[in-house]
Amino acid sequence: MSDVRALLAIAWKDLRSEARSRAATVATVFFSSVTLVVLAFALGRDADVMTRAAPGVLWVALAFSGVISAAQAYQSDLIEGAFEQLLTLPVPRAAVFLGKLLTNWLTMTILGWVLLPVTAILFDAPIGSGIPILLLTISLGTLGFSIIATFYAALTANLQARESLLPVLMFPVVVPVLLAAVRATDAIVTGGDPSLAGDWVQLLAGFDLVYLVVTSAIFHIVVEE
Amino acid sequence: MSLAPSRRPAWLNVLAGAAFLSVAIGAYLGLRVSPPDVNQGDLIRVMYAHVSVAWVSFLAVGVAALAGIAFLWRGRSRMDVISVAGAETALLYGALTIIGGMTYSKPTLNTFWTWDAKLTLTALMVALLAGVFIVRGLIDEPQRRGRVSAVILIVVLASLPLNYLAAEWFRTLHPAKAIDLTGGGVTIDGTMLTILLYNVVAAGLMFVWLLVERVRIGMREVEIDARRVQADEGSSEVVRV
Amino acid sequence: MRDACRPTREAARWCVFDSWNQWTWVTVAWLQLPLAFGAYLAYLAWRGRRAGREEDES
Repeated sequence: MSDVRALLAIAWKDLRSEARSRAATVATVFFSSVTLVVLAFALGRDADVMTRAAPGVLWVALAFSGVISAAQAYQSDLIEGAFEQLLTLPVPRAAVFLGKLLTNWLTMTILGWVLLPVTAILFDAPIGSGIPILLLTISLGTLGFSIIATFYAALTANLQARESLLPVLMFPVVVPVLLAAVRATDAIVTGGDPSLAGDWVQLLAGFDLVYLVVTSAIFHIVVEE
Repeated sequence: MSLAPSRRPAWLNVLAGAAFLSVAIGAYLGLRVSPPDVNQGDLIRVMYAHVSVAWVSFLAVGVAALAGIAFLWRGRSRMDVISVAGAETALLYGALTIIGGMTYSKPTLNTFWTWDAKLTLTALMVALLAGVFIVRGLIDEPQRRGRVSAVILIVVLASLPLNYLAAEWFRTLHPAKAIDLTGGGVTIDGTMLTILLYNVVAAGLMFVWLLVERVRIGMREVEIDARRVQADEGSSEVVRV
Repeated sequence: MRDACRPTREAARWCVFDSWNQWTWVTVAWLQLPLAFGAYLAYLAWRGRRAGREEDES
């Protein structure tokens, strides 16, 4: 089986198991809703503050939900020992990594695209004109996040205390991605200077590329026995 | 090979003496010899203590990451020990940088924290290093522990310039207090620069000495564990990090 | 020191530092060095002693 087909097969397998189990979906939807509501209460005294906070709120909800779903990505594999079986296949480790990354990224992007109008409404932040580039920005931000989350989830999968360890390891690494994503979202929504938004989006893409290359190259060390 | 507690080699004592002496001289230079600054007055003397340890903290992370990569390359346990030692000293110097930075910014900028790119980067670096130690504590087998730790350090190394760029662009594309805490916003004349560089070298000497001492202890532990495995007693019951 | 604090919300939080002069700050900053190095050296000594104990046992 060619590497690309293996990659897609792994991604498809994960997507199907997630659609069946719904565990990750329920958790992430619930968690992001709670985050939005709590932040709305915390910031809600000043309507202006709420509008200006909307980009940051969106990414806070996404980031927290992303960590939860990342930890879930390996749970089902570990329980049945499927992960070891997966590794015995004559497929380069990078393909396994990219397959899992694809699923993680797709689910997180869908969540992000759904959260976008919800946040815009709840926080009174008009997003009329910039929707296509907003969707792109969300996709790029979730990509960077997923790369790091998928990598570290594999690393912590064999260790104890992995649920609490994953965010500890992830968050300092994911800061540039989150920062660029929030800044880009903010620049688009406030709509002042289009080149500023472009700058941040390019920066975000650059960060994604660096992390993707580095993690793909060293992933095989993480899962070796 | 006998494991008698090794006496300190002479050169190590010389290094220790040199390190302490140079730090003391650096302090004297910074506290007495340096003129007060035009804008910040005597507070500029804080800068010497703060900036010198900041530079060395990044040197230490570099040492830790490079040693980790060397360990991945050849698997020699000495490289792993150097990597841990570098990470520990990086954590030490990083913590000093942050607390020193707060001690500097409160009297000069009237706030304990600015989201200055360099300080933010240092804070994130400390958080990253904490993660390295937590993971090391969870893995018993030395080879695997060293390899996983090296992998994390590679990601840490990759993230440092990205974090710096992100924080820097956050400040410059975002009109806000953009004050350089390393003294760049302060008129730094020749004498001050010399004194600063001297303090950097002093902090660096101290780092080298601490690193060597830590590596000596680490190698001793490696030998103890290896002996235990040979004698078939299994690995150490002590949690090694 | 307390009576130097003005009752505004902002000033009240950190007013204990208002009475520090520049040399106080400088001293605090430079004292951090021996404290930190001393702490690390103590840690190294502890670790060395632990290794010594293990050596004696094996």
